[in-house]
Amino acid sequence: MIPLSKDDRKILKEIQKYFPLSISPYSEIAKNLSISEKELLEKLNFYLELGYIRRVGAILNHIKAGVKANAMVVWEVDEKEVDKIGNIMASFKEVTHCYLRESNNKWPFNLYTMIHAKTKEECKEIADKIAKATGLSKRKLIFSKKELKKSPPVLFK
Amino acid sequence: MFIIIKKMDRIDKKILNHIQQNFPLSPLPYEELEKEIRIPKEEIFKRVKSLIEKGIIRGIRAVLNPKKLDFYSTLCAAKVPTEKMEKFISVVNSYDEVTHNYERDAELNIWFTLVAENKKRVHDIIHDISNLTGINPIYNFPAKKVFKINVKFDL
Repeated sequence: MIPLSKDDRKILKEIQKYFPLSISPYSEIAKNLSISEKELLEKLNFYLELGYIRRVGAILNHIKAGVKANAMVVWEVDEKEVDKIGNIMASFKEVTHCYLRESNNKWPFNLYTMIHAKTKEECKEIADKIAKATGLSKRKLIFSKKELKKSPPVLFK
Repeated sequence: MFIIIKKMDRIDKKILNHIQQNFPLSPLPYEELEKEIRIPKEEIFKRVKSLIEKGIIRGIRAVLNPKKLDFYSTLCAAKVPTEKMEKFISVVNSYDEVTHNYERDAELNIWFTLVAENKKRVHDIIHDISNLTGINPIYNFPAKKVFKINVKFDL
């Protein structure tokens, strides 16, 4: 990674916060940063290109938007097969996240998929489809009961 | 009697499907959007404002990639008994580094994510939470490989 300058850190810190609701939000953000709007937009494009920023977009409250059920499905997968299986899982559009994670002897599950759907039943059906597509049997569906916190990361304090 | 409040119509969904991934990087982003989705810019702005007010959109922002920026992130889980729940949640949520926290329907009933400047800070926070709440172990499951992150909902 290219070392970040002090200015980059200042900009990244600002743009991870919710933008002001305005027809020209970048001009307001640039004003706060004491840089020109043009410079801010160039930086944003540059960060996107480098992958420092994944996207600039609206963050949905998926529960309020009608995507009410979310299941974290954890799978026990042989490490040798993990690449093949991870890619199959990632191909399902209802799977928003798919990670290989560390496991331990008390918790043997190592592959995690987050499934979002309108209902719990739909989540179960999708998990069944994934099981069929991958030939996996060891899994656990863990539904969320309550969102206790969701906030943007505070990088660069 | 049930009152059904229709929160979103077809046009709202069209706007949302688009701006989840790409909010234009342009001095007048709503003007750009008008060209892209052929809805008048005033209309889009009015609807985005109302979707934010209704809480359907939390806001518009840049989503950083912590890994690319050399930050360390992980997923933690713990088994928290009812009588310790309130304290545990308030301690966990008090850290800026905690970005998500969910109560889940499983034996490990609390799952939260941590993003911090380095591995040491993550381990320190987990240690502190354990000390302050008496909950031990707090499992730490850092990612070894990412196959997908695509938080886009087809509405």
